[in-house]
Amino acid sequence: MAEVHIIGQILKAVDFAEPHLYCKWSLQSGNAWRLVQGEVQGQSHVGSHRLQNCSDFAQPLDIHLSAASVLGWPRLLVEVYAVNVLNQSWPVGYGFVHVPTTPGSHRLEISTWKVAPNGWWQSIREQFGGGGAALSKTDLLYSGVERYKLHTLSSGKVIVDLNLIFRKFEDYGVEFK
Amino acid sequence: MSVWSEGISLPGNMDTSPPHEKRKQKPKKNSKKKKSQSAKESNSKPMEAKATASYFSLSITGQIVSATFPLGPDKEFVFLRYELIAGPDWQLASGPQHGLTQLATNKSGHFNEPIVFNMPIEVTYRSTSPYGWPQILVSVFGRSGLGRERLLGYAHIHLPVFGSRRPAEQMEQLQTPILMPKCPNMIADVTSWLLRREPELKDPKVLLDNLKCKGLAMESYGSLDFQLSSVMRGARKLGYHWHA
Repeated sequence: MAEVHIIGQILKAVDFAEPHLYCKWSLQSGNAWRLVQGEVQGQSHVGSHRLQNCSDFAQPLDIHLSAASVLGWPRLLVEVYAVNVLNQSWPVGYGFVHVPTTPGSHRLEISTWKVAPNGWWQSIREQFGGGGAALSKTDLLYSGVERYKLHTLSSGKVIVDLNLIFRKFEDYGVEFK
Repeated sequence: MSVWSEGISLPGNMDTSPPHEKRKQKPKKNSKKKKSQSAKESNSKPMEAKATASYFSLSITGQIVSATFPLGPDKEFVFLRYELIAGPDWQLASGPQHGLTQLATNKSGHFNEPIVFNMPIEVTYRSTSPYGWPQILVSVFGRSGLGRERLLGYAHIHLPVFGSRRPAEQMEQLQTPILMPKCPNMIADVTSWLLRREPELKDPKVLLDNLKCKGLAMESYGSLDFQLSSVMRGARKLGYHWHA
């Protein structure tokens, strides 16, 4: 079975409007992929910066997957949540990126979006009432099937550093060029 | 070169087979390396198993260059304590696992100049799998002129996975943010300000875990510069493809 090692860090979130953020991430892949070692989901601490408007997570990733097929290449899903003084949290960014298909070190920028407020009352609640709307079914993040009726706003970016090591792909005839 | 001739320093893995027998079991060892004749060899049974399941070795050389604080460090003198943490398949073959640097300052220059440590890091690891790639976890402490020490933050990074991809004259420059734990609520904040005791993490390895740092609040201020490069041996034989 071919194996993929993903070693890296979710570095930081930039360009978000809120200062205190944390990030929930998960790695999803198709049925032919199996997790050998490591954890496929996690949650970072709440990060903020003293001077700039970015949040450093430095969340280490170390995942060992084994693949029986190229179908269902793994994706990294990221949800950024903001926290206010009363310790309430609400999502301010959803995004995903496919893990790169060549071995080596990559720096990825995940652009995120959030659900747009539906009217005047919802905008007020977003500012003062502990946050805006969230997605009820998070599989909308990676599937394009039912996105039609959703209104979204662009949000900041999450920067991820990944190092990929592949093993035994050549034995199965897969080439990387 | 006797770097690899030092015995494996983990307990529970002591080999009592004589050195020349070990050389037979590992034919692909470099002929320039000499086996150490001292008695600190590992136990025969796990070493035999390890010889047939081949391993690759990773050698990291470099230094912790400096720490930079944009508005100056909170205390006059800064020192670091670093620790190397790796997964269960990894064994430290040579080099120290912990270290403590000197007390450095940038008092005489501009306040946001980098505080230079120039702390060397030279370690060699041996492993059978890249899972649990070693990370370096640095705790930054500050000390005022009167002798009071205080935690200034933590920084951690994976040791470089790809060493030979960059051009030969440029070592990989890594910069990590320094994260300082914050008090969990306002009462703790006021208490810590009154008693002058800042929060410290009981076990900084919590930052390396994916689920345990839920609910922790950290503030980032300052950054730490590393210059590290890696040399790997034996990985291609096991079928790993580091580069396309």
